[in-house]
Amino acid sequence: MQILTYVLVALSIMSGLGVILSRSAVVSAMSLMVTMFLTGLLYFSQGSYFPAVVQILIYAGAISVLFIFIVMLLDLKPSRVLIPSRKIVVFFAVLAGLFFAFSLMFLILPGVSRSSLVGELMSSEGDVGLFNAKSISLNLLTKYMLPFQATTLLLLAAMMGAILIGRAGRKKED
Amino acid sequence: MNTEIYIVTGVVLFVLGVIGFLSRRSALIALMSLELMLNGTNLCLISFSRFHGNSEGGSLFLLIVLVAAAEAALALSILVSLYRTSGSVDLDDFRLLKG
Repeated sequence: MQILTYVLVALSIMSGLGVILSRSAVVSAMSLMVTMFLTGLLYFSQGSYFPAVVQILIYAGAISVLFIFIVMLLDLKPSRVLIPSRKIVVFFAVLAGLFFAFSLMFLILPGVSRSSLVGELMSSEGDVGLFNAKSISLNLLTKYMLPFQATTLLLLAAMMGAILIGRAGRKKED
Repeated sequence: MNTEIYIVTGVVLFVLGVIGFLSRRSALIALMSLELMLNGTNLCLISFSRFHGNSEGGSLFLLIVLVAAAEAALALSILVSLYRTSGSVDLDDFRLLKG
């Protein structure tokens, strides 16, 4: 358990270094995605499951995908964008296939899922009662009512602002 | 409870974000460093909240995630429109207010 946490910490710091050190923006965006995902796993290993799920869904799922879209949309200087060679692509494809087979093993083989890695990742000391949806939403609807309502205005303003900025840029071109 | 390792990780991620924000000249990488900083802050928030056995950190975590999502969407759309007008995302190229 302890070793797994240390490995996750080392990997997340390394991928965080990858965000700020890599030359190509694509690699930075991918490293950002990996960092978000590993931070979500750190929440899991800590025993706070609800923040872990939110982190993986919103950060690793939505925000970093938005960054990758923008990187592809912007068409940065071709000298800076790293085009991966065939060997690297094959290597990562094999890696992803192995990972998929490994995680499929938990579903197919009986008894494996109970005993090993998943149970180890979910620490026994983590109490589910601390960060569950009920306590968080109770906080949001009583003590933090005003900030919670303010975020609705913020989201509305952000949405309208993004639409307006996108339209204004297009109108100028025509 | 090993809270320290999570706090240290959060602080390291925050410092990495600060370094990236100050040193990289691409606006896109600066925004990514901003997200990295928010990530480190969230990790510290959740870890401290767990350490004190208090669930309010989770609510603040949700609020921060919301603000980060709104900020990312808006900043990236501004970036795209800047790229349309000036043709680059280099922070040194934006001198419209300098006159």
